[in-house]
Amino acid sequence: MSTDDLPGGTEPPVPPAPSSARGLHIGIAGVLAIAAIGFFTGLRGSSQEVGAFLASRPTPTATIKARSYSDTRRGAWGPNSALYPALFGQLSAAPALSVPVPPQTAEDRLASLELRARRRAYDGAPPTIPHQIEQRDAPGCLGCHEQGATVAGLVAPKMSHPRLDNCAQCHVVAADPRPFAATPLPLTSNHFAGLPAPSGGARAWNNAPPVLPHSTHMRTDCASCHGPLGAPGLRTTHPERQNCLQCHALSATKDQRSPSGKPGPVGWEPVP
Amino acid sequence: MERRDFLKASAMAAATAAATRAFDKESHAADAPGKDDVRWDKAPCRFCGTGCHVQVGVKGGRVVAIAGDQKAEVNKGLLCVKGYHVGLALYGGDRLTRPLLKKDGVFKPISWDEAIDIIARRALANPAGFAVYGSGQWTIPEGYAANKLVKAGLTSNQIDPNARLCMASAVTGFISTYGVDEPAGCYDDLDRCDVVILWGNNPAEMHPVLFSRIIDRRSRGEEVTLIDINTRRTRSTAFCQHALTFKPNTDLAIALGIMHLLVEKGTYDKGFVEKFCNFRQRTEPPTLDGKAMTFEEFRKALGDYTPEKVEEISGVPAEKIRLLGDLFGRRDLKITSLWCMGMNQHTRGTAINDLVHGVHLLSGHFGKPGDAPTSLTGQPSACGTVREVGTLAHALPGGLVVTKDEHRKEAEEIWNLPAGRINPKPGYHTVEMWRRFCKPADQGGDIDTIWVQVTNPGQSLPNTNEIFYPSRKIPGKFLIVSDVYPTETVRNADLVLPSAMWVEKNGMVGNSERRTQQWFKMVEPPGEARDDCWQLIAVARRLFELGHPGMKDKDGNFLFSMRKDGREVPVWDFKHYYDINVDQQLFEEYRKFTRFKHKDLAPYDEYTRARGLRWPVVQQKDGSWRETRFRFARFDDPYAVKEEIQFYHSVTKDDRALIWFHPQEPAPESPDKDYPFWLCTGRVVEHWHTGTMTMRIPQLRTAMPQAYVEMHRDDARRLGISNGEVVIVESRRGRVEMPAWIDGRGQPPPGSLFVPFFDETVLINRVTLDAHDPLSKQPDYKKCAVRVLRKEPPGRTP
Repeated sequence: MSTDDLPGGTEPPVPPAPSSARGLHIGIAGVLAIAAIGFFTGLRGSSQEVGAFLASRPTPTATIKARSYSDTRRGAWGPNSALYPALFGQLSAAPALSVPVPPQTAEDRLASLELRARRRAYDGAPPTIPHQIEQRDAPGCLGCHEQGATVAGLVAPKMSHPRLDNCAQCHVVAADPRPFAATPLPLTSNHFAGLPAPSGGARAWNNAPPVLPHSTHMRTDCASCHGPLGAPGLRTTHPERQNCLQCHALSATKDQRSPSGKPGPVGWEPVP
Repeated sequence: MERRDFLKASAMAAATAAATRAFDKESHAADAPGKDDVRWDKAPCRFCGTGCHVQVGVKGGRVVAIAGDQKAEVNKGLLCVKGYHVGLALYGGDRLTRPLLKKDGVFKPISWDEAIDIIARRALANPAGFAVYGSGQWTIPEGYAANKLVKAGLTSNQIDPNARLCMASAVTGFISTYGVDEPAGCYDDLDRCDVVILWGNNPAEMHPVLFSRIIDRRSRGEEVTLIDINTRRTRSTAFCQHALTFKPNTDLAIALGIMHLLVEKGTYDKGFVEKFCNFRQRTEPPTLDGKAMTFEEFRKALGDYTPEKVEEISGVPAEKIRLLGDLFGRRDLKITSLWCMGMNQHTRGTAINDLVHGVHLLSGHFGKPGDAPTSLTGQPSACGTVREVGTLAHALPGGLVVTKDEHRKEAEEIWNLPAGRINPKPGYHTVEMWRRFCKPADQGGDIDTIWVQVTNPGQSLPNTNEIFYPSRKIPGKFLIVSDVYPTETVRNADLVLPSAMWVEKNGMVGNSERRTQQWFKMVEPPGEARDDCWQLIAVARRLFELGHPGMKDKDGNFLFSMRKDGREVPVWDFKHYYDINVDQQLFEEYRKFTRFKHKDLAPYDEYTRARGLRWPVVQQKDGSWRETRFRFARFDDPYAVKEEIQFYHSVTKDDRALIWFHPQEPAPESPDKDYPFWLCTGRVVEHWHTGTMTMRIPQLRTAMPQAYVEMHRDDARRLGISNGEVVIVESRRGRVEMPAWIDGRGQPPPGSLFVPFFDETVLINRVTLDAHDPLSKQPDYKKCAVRVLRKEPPGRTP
C-alpha cells in the first residue's frame, strides 16, 4: 500500500509493517497492530531537571495567554514531526508508577503551561495535533495515545478522556495536510482572545492539597497531564496514589453542574 | 420572559446557594464565581443541523471559551472540532461593521437609514420583482419575519431559501410518503438500533457527534453493525463492517433490489403493510400524489430488480444486495437509515427518499425505537426556519401552502389581514429565481432585486457561471446582501448590510430531530452590525411610512406592531429593538400556525429552560409541556390514538403511509469521451459549507487550508498527475484549479472525483450542474461530467 510508486509521487514510504518491528519493548501486546496503520506520535521532550523538593509547589505569577493567530501556525509542530515516519524500535511503554518523579520547579510549570497553551485556542479546547496523521483512518491514533507511550525520549500523551474512537472529530493537524504545499502566511486575522489556563489550584492553607483549577469535563484521567508521562511542570510528585479526588476537590462551578440540579442555564447565578 | 426577568429569577434561585458560599468564603474561594469570572450560558452551535448545545463562556463582553453542554441530550457534553472553535467565528479580523453601497465599482460606507430607505424604495418600485433569498441559518424569528414581510406584506411570494439546495428532496419525500414533513424518529434511535445504514452519507465528518453516538456504543461493549452505501471511501467507511460502492445515480436500483428480495422471499412485514400502507406509482408529469397501484402491480414492477440485475446496474455485488435484503427481512433487528446530501442533492431526490422510506415501511422497520428512516440536515435551522416556518416560495408557516384556499384563510386570520390578501401563486424556486435575476427584463428576467440574508449564493449556487455571475453585468439588477464577512456574494453585491451573528443576538433554531432550541444574546455585535431580524422589520416599517398598503393589517396597524404595557414599542428603531424580546413576540405569533399539522410548539419560556424540545410539544393535565420523540407511534405521540401506528396526515386520508415504486433512470449528464469523470462535491469535518466562518478560525483553516480534488491512483498514473500537483477540473460550464490528492482523506473509485466546496479560491460551483429534481427543485451537486487536465509544465510555451 505504498504511495511512492506513483508517478512523481513525493510521499515518504509508509512505516514498516508490524512484522518488521522486532524487538519492541512494549508492555501491551497488540498496540502496534493499530499503530502500524500509519503514524505514531509523541510530542513532549522529557526533562532531566531535578529541583528541590520545596519547588514542587511552585506558584507562578505569570498568566498563560492563549496564542495569537500567527503564533498558532508558528511552532505548531512538535519535535516528533521530524522523526516521522519510523522509530518503532525505540517505542517503550509508560514507566511504572513506582518510578520516582523529579519534583517540578516554577520554571517547569510555566514552560509546560506555555507548551500546552500553544496547541489550544482557549483553556478547555481540544488540542491540535503536532504531527501529520493518516487522514483516512482515525483509529490509528489510539496505538500510542490510548495508554500513552514514550518514543526516543519523546512522549505520546495518554488521552485525558474516556475512549472515543473518532479522534479527528475534535483534533485536527496544526499544518497543511500532506502532500499540499504550505499555504502562504498571513491568513486572515482573528481577534479571538481565549480564556487563559489557570496556573495552579488554590490551597486553603500552606500545606493543603490544591483544589482542581479546571473543569474535569473531558479531563477525567488526571494521569494524562499529571502522571509520569505528563509535562514536566505538571507532574505529580506522588504518581503511586491513584485516587486523586480523595484529596483534590472538584469544582461544581467549573464542571458546570448547577448546584440546584434543576435544568436551566448554568453559571448565571449572580455573585453574592 | 424578558432577559432582565430571567436574570432576576435566577438571582432568587441562587440566593440560598450564594449564602452557603459566603459562609466559608476562604476555603471555597476556588469554587465561587467571582465578578471577573467567566459567565456561561447555553446556545445551540452555530454550524450544522445536528443541533449540539454548547456552553458559551463570556468574559469582559467577549466570548472566551466554549464547552460541550453536558445537559444537552443531543451531544451529551461532546462537540466536534468546529463546535469547540465556534466562538472564534465572531472574531475574524474582517467583520463587516458598516452598511456599504457600491458606487462605480467601489464600496462606500453609508448610514443605516440610507440603506434601509434604498431597500424599501426598490421593493416599492417593483414589489413583484423584489425577491428575498434566505437561509436555513436564519433563526426561526428571522425567517418568520421575512416570510410575513413577503407573503403578507409584498404579497409576491418571492422568497426561497438556500435550504432548497440542501433539504428540498427530503421534504418532498416525507410529504409524498406520510403526507406531512419531517422525520418520525429521532436521535434516540441511534442509541437503540442494531444496524445503521449510511445512504451516501459520511457522518464521521459531517455529523461527527451523531456518528460518535453510534460508534461509542461499541466502546461500551454493544454491538452495532454499520453498512456504508457510498460512491467513495470516506472516514465513515473505516468504521463500517460493510462498504458497498455503487456507480453514481444507481442508488434507486439498490433500494429497489432490497424491496424485490423482501417481496419475493416473503420476508416483508405483511401485518404492517396490510394495516398501515398503500402502494403508489408516479404519473407523467410527476406529482407528489402519484397514482394508486395494487400490491400485485408493485410486485410485478419490482421483478426487474433481481440482485444480479442490480449488480449489473450499480456495480454492487449481488451478495451485498442479498445481505441488505436479509437484514431488512429480519424482525429481530432494529435498523436505522441515515442520509443527507447524497440522497437529497439528486435529480431523482424525491424518488430515492420515497424508496428508502418504502424499504422501511415494507419491512416494518418503522415506529419502534431504533427502527427509523432518518434524514439529517446540513444547516442549524433548515428544519426550524425553512420547513416549519415555511420560508419557501409556495409555503406558509406550519406546513400550510399558498395554493390552498383554506390555508391562506387561516394565515390571513392569524395575521389579521383583509380576506384575499395572500397571493395564491407560488413564487420562484431558488434556481428559477436566480436564472430570472440573470436575464434582462425583456427576456423574462422579471426579478430585478434580490435581498440575500445569512447565506452565500455566489459560492453555493450550482453552475454559478450561468445563474449567478451574469446578473452582475445587467443594468438595473440590484443585489443586497446581509452578512458578517466579505464573502463571494458580498464582493458581488450592490448594497451590503453588516449583520450580528449567533450569540450577538437572541435566536431560536430547529434541528434534524424536530428539536426547537433557544438562546439569549450574550455579547454586542461589532461596529454598526445589527440583527437580521431588525433589518427586515426596519424595511417593513420604511415601506409602511412610504405608504405601501401591504404593510398594514386590516385594522390599519403595522404588520410587525409589538406592544408592551399597552404601548407600541418602536422596534424598527434599533435603539429600542431590545426594549422588548422581539424573538418572543414573533415566536408566540408563529406558534398559532403550528397546531394545523400537529407540529405544536411550547411557549417561548419553556425553551429558555430546556436544551431544546422536540415537537409536537403538548401541554399535560398538570400544566407541564411534554415533547414527542417517536412520531406516529401511539406509545409516544399524543396524536396517534387509533392503532399502534397512525399516519394521521395520510395522503390517502386513511391513516396509511405510501410505499412508492420509482424506476431506475440515467442521470441528466454522465461521463463520456470528452468529460470522462464523475464529479461529486461536498464537505470536510473542519469546514462548514462555504467556509466563510470556519476559514477564519485559525485551528480549522490551518488543518484544511484549501480545497483539493481527490482522485484514484490509477487515474492519476494514467494522466501522469503526481500527488499534490495543481490540476484543472473542467466541465462544459466552467473550470477551476486545485491540487490533486491521491489516497487522501477520501478515496473515490476509478473514474470518480471529489472536490469540497468550502474554499472561496476554488469555486467548484462554476463547474457543477443546475439540473434539479422535478418535484423538489433541488439541484444535483453530486454528479456531473468533468475532465482533469494537467497544467502546461513551466517554461514550455503552448
